[in-house]
Amino acid sequence: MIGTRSASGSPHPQVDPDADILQGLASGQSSALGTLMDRHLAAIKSCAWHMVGDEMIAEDIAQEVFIKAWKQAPNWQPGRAKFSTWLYRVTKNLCYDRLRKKTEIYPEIIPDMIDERPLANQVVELRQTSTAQKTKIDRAMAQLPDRQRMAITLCHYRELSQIEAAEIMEIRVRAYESLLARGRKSLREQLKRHKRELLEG
Amino acid sequence: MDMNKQEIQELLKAGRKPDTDMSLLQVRILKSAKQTPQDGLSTGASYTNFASWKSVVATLILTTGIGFGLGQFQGQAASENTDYLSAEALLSFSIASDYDETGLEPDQEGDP
Repeated sequence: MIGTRSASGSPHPQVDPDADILQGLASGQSSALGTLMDRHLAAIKSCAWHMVGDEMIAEDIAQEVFIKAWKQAPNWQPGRAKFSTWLYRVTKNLCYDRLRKKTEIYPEIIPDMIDERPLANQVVELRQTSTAQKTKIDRAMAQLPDRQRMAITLCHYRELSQIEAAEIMEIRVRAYESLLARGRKSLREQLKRHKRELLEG
Repeated sequence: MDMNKQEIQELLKAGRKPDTDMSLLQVRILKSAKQTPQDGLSTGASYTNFASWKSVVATLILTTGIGFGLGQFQGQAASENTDYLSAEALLSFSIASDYDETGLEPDQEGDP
């Protein structure tokens, strides 16, 4: 059954911003699914992408999330968690599943995203530098434990509140704060050496 | 040298980003949704199913009752006409007869 209670155990007090389309979604209107995707698809895919680090897998996860939403919409119980929280929660679980199944989602060396079209040498050089910097950040993120990476993703990439992020991760706010602090500490240690070049680059 | 939350935010945003064009993915999901039936377990839907099931049962009981009632009326009229005849026929089968034809003269008109 979808529409679970919040991490604190009390019903979610806020009005669900997606309430207007949930009825349409439950009655099988594909236009409602389209609206839901307009609102959340980019965020869900981005969240999955930061977790698994692969475009295709992130798209597969996003598709699975929205198909689950479509399938289970008639069972949705309003007045509990927000629908978007449920979407993120499903995303998180699917990401964990994928990472568990394939522990080497991130290769040893992340391939450079160099455009293979002929370009002036200077542009290529700049792009290579930029890609190298981005690779360092990706590597640092990839080396975090899954739960810490999820906590960082929800806070720094999705910019969700700690209460909402804790609900998504199905833990108490205190536990989320602790997870986030540990994640930041690990990232800090890994990125400290490259801080100046990364920020300047 | 320590990095604060803001600096981590800036660093992370400088990293790679996923493809932002969602149009193809949207089409793919909509196509897949059209082939995926929704769960029909909502409270409203099950109540409607239950209500229609109840009305079917009520109709069946009512029509069976009416049919039985009509049958009773027609049955009474038929038995009034046939009771005596059927009873006599049944009696003729069950009572042993001591009638014997062996000692009788042949018919005058029938056999040559």
